[in-house]
Amino acid sequence: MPLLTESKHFIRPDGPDKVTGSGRYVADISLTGMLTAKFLYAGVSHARITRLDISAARQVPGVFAVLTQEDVPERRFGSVADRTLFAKDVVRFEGEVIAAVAAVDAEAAQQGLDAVVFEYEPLPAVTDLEAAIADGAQLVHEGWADYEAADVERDGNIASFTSMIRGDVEAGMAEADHVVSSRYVSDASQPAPIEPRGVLAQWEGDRVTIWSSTQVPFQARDGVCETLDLPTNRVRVIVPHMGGGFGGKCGFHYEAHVAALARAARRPVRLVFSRQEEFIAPDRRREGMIIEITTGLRNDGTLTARRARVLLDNGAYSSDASFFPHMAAMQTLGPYKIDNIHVEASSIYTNRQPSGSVRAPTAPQACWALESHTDELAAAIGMDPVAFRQQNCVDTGETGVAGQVYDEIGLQDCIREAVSAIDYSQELDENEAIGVAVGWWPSFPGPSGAFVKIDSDGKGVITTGAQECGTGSVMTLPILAAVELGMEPEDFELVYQDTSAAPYDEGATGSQTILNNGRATVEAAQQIAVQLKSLAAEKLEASPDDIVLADGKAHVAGSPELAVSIADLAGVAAEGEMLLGKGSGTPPEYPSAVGVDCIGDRGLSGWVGPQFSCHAVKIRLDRETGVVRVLDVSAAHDSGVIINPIGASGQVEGGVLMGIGQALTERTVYSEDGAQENPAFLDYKLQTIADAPPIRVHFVEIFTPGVGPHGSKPIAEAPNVATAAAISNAITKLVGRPVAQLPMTAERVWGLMQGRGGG
Amino acid sequence: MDTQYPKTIDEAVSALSDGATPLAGGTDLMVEVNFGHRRPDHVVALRRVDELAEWDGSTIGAGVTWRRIELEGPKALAEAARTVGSPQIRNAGTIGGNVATASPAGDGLPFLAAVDASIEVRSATGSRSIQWDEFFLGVKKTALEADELVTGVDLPEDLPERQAFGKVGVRNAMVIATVCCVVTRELDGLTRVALGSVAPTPMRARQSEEMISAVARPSESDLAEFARLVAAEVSPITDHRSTAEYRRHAAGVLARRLLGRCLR
Repeated sequence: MPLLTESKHFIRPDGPDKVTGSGRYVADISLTGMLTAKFLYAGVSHARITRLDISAARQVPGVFAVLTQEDVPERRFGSVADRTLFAKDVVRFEGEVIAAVAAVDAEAAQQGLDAVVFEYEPLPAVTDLEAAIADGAQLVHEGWADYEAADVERDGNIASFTSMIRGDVEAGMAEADHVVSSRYVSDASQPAPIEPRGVLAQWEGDRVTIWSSTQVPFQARDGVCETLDLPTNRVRVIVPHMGGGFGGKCGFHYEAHVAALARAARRPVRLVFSRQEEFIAPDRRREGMIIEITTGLRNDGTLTARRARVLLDNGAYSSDASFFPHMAAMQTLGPYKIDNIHVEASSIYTNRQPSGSVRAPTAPQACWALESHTDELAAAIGMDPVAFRQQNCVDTGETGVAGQVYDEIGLQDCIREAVSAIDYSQELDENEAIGVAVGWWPSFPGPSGAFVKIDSDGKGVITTGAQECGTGSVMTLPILAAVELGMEPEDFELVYQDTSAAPYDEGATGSQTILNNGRATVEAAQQIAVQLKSLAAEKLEASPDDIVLADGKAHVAGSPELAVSIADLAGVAAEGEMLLGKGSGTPPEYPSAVGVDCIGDRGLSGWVGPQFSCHAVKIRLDRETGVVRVLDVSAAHDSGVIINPIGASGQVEGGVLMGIGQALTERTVYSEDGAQENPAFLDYKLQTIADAPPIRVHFVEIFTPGVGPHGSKPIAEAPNVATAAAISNAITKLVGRPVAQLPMTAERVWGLMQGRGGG
Repeated sequence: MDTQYPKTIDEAVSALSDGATPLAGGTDLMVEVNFGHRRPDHVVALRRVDELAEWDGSTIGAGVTWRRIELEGPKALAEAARTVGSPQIRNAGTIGGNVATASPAGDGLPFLAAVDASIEVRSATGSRSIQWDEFFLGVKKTALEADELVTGVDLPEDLPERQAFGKVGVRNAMVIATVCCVVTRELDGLTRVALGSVAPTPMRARQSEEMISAVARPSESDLAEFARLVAAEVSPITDHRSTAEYRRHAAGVLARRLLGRCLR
């Protein structure tokens, strides 16, 4: 396997378009006759619809279409099929769409919405996780038992359940010298991409083209096909530039609503969300959680047993969240060596915004709880928390919590590098501390395809279903093609995000582009390499096996002067058998996990290409106000061989900054009846560049076979796992015990110092 | 919605008498429009009124931007200006807008309270000068009549040399204050303490001022007593941003620290 050409520092080619404003987003696209869409939202968290009359709305001047669930096929969708496009009979959260209007402009659309007549019979809002699973609790979905859901364990308000049992947890606890119990509570937070989403639909005959700011165009297409009863080849989803996603634009959202409006109005229709809608309506927020962990350990630091109970706030509908309990269970166990485990995790229906995949779903909160707990364990036996992790974290050849034996992994190196980069043993001011946490995250293999072509002047185009929401496919895929063909990444343009032009890909989700589409792109490029070598062999009178592709030329091995340029070969090929490659390849299989008894198994006990990390964070605490400032961060990651250092470092820096926000400021505040109280950037505070500390990024590059190309593993989500945990551990060093509430706001830290709260 | 673009204050106030909504930097008004809280039919845009951007000695024109105040303003007001929004917002937002909006969290307002500034206002029929504590009447409520325009703020000729502004918020930039505060101190010990976000209007902590003004060289215990008094004097509320208890506590800590800066 050839190693990558010496670190290609290839800068994203879409950067100038985005910075100068020449790049086009959905909201920039207008079509002749285009109408504006607006939604009518429930506005209450739980109610039965007793009247819904749109006849007056349809008469409003300028209104071309008004739709409700009556106007679309009755199809339920979601990982538990618990949702319809529009509310049917009952509304279950404030951002649920009950009607949609298309009108000549925003004002007319608003007048249309204002003319919709609806009446409710209020129902009690379910907002407390413990109360929701108590006997006799108000059900969020009366008809839950009738919903389709493959392999999901459910019961009433429990939307999905997973347990993992291995060994004998009772016996393990009995062997312990210490048993430490902790309870942690995390608030919900938001993906908050800078671009509020847009969807534009235009019909020609019985075919619809939809421009959408989605991270997952094929899922969006399939959602439209499923809910509007259309075949896949009549629905074309195109994604122009996107202003970020962070998971918020994964899944199927409003493409079908807008397509249905455009069909009814017989005009193109465009929906562009306001910031407030972006907060309230999508079924993608980071779920609130309650995490209870009890661990037994011996005086020598050996972990003997762990019991955990995790409650996740599912919100009103299940979107893609039914794998979250299994994921949260793995995160609560962590990359440690423990033979006796018993974890139960439940995702619970509430009358709040639905939870869904946001960058590394469940991990930042569960890792924060686990790693705060781990520092408590180390403290219980008076051991340094770093040494405690070095002793208990898995290493190459060892068996993890779910019985998986790990091939070569770099977690111990990550710990060493992160701790050394931050100078862990430095003299610290009495208001400063360094916290350390480890994290892990799986890779998600899946089907994916790509086409590569080289045109007559030797320039290439990669046509792929992979998505670019800032994650870097625009950099990585050209690098991979260039390496195979002895060309430069700059020689390739990407045509992506068009479901009718490109083969299937899961999209910018699950950090999967390098792993799956990278493999497909390499395979496609290799087919062209074979063609080029054969053309060159003819020209240079050599055997194809002796042809080397390098520096834009094909030359005979050992005789660089016997060469022909790839551009010349492309010119020849263009006259006859063209340079076209296609790839998809076979996704890696999930490794087995041994000895785990798992109810509600979502196939996540054995991880392909597990990624490991260690983050070390230095903070200063203002003891009078509880304000925490992050002064310095070091982040060491084992994500295999790094294909593109600039892109990978950017992912880590962004993940860390997002982690600081989750740790200190980001929270959605809910009223007692389930409404968001801060659905705006005025009151929902992300970290800004003014808050960003120095972030030292280190990659532990281990060639990892059988995952991504060139020994690579994914990187996009892993950096968003351990930062909040490391900050928690630093705060604990200064105030004596964990804050145990996420985010660890200044007020909560101050409250802890006043003797309130805390774990 | 129709918009007028006057060039002079006279033209501007004449538009106001027809019921127009004034628009300066838009950093408050456009937020309200975006949230759907307001939908003005008639807007009078003030950016082209050059007179409003004049800064004549101790009178700062209402149209002077935060960016300019950041560079040229008196120390504590410049410090406050630096914490207003982002650079883009500071290039658009004006001191007049801050005053006319009269948010309890207005970053520029504690300074005006601390130095006993007056607000200059004008209508088609005349002009008047209103002392700050008679101008700010409640949450986003002022003595301004519908046909009156804030034209400037009038500061005293001599400002205390020792002055400091501070803010407690959830992050370093672009943040609404949990508490903001200005402390000034004269050489003879006369101290003024003004706070924002802890009452319906910007407020002075007069008992605390009286107590600490009488102490020539405050000891640690004097400072602690001062902080306690400030915390007792403020009347914050609990909302989704913070609890009253924390705001009260933070107000005392912040005032004490700013006084410490003035004493150095």
